Amino acid sequence: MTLLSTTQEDTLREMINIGVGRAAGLLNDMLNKHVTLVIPELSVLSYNELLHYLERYSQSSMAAVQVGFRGVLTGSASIVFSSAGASRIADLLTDADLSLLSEDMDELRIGVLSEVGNIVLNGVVGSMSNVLSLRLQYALPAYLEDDLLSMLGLKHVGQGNETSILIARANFSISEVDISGTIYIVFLDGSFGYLLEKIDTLGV
Amino acid sequence: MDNLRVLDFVPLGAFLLDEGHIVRFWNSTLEQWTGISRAQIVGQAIGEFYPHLVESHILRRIRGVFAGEPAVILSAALHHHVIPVPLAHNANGLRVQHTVVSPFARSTDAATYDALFSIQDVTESTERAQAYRQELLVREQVADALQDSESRYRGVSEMISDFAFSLQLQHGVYQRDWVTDAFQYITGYSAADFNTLDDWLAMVHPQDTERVLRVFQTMRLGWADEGLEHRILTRNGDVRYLQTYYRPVVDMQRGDVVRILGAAQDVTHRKRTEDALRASEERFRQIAENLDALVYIADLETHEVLYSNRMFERFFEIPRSTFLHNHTVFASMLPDDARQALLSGLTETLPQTRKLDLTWQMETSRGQGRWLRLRCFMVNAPNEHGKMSRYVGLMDDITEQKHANEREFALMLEREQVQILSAFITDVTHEFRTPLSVINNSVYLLGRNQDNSKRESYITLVQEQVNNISQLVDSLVLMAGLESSVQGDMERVDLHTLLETISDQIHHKAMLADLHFSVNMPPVPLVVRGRVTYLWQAFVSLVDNALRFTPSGGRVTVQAQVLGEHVQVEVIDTGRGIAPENLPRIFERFYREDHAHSTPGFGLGLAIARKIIERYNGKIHAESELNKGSRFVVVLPLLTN
Repeated sequence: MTLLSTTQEDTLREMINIGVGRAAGLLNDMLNKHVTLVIPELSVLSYNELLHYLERYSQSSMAAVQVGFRGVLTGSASIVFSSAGASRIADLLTDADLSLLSEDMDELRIGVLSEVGNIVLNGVVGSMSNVLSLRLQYALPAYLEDDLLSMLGLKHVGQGNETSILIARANFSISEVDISGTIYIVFLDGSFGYLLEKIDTLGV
Repeated sequence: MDNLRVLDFVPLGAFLLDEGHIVRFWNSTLEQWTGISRAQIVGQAIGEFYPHLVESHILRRIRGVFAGEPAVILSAALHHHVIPVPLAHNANGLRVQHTVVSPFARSTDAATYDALFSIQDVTESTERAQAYRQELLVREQVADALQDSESRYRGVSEMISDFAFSLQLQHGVYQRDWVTDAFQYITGYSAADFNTLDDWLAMVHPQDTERVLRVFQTMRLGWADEGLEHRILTRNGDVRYLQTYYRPVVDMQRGDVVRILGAAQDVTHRKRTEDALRASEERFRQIAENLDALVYIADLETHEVLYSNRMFERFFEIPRSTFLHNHTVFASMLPDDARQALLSGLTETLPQTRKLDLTWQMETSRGQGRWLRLRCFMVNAPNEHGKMSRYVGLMDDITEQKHANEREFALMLEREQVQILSAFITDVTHEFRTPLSVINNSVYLLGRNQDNSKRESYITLVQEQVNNISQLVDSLVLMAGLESSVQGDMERVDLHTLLETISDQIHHKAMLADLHFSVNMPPVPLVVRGRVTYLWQAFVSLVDNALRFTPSGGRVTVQAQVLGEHVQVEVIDTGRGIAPENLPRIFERFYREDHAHSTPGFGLGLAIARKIIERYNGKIHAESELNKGSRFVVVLPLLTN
């Protein structure tokens, strides 16, 4: 596991918390439902460590919303749910029993999940670029269903590359039902190092 | 805005808003959908046309887009229609839309962004999904209904199995409508004794009346109960346990409860069995509570601890409650290796072999070292999920037992040493007795014999034997010295010089015995740590030994070389060699391959050599082939500075 200084870890955690806080506020307003979002766990892994982590925690069927970014930082931010968790979120937010629609994600459900994921990710990357005054360009948000490594675009990345993956567990509580997802922020080509440098210059 | 014209050719509604929410572009699809022309709307505030788009929850969402932050999704399910467009076949319905709002750079060096709304019409696919959902919903309802009637049927069959009754509401009182025959058989009362709800309640055990009443109260609201277990008193005063189901029948038009159906099953036998079980469990508990051992029962599946006795709490000094939710909690209090053994034992060994037996040492909070033994075995009773996953853990403090074992071991060791010592004494006595008997004989003959030349030879014999004894004493003193601590032996000894000196002394002796003797060494100091007199003794013994067992014309070579951080000294001879079966024993005290003792020596030289080499962290071993020769190899650590 990449070792972060306390300041670095605190700043990262704070940035993500600001982001998810903003996202939870938006969801609250938009849906008129009590939505809370907390990040109980945060860690940074190298590519090899991620492979090792996936061996232990990989889930077969997953759904993700992803936004790519490039500029001073290159990579992508994704929020990943188990397929079941994804359906659950869509159901809770629309008050519908979308689960009746068999296991296939229909367009409505994909739409809901994309929007929720989009809100959370915009919160997180927005807060990251705001706090650190970074100028980034973003790809259009995408909805994906695949295995995690493919979704993160890391299937064909060789070993020994300069990739770091920030992993934050995100626990949603919607109308008192708890669902957890995971935020993966992939930093390619050593851009995580740049991010840490930026954090260090904040002089928190 | 010319570059936006391309958006006139896509089947998407597209418009551009600036930061002030003024429409900057409106594509032809939107013109078609809304009937609002580009000329009408461009330059106007979007709020004038579509006030819902400037409501705070939308503005908050898209605010970041004007700063170049990532695109925003307004999904069909949550927003339905960003630009309301009526359905062709139903003027009240609106087309469903999925919208993406993305930042659109105003110029190439953009620091300012407009928001580009791209609207996809998803009405058809949504309708398809809804139709599908509707169909599934109907199917689900049919399944529900079927299930419901099945449960009703189940209710009926339950009624047949024991007894059932019906109470009908008449003038505000529940009157018995009918009751099945088994009622009489189970309660001892006749149907004539059961006329109203109050009659029934009177049969219920006084301690359960309140619970039953509560069920009837909620039932008046039309709620069916989940089933209730309560006691009744039979006519002759026996207690019987009933599993009862009460169901209200509602008048669909008025919504009132008009009738209550009751079904009861006699579960007395089951209840008694449960009580007996509980009693035996209670007995177990009493025994376990008073045991000196730590006892607990846990479930491997659920990790739940079902029981742990008082000793557990006392020993680990944690409240029982912290342990209850997870049976491996106490593992965290164990030393690393014990913890790992326990955790893997519980996940692997115990489920497979149904037994687990672990012993470990740990310090208690009072700093006492204790030996603990944990034995686990699976219980042959299923848990509530029907799985055989319960086990009993029994932990004993075996410190005393362990200490007793250790004492016994120490005693054995002592006994062993005494045996070795007495064997040694026997050996020594034997070695002394031989020369002494020679001396004794010689002195006796010396007294009887007048022949001077004979007397001379007896005196020489005595002198030789006295010499032998004194050598033996020297060796024994040396050995005794070697038993003492190594502390004083901190000298730096250069083996190069040492072996050269030995070589000088041996040369003469070798020449007399007609042996070819040579020493090969690298031209560097070979410094080791030790005491020079001891190391001298060790190498002299090895070389002496080689000379002694090599017939004339043979060759003895001493060879030294540096191997990494060690020096290796080999003593190689072309002597008669050592039989393979004797090779392992040659370093023992008083061991002589020549049982007739025809060669000189006491069998102490090699034993002493080994003791010395090992004293300085060295190693010695021998290789040999009969009639070809032997090779003794010594390896000692080199002093680096």
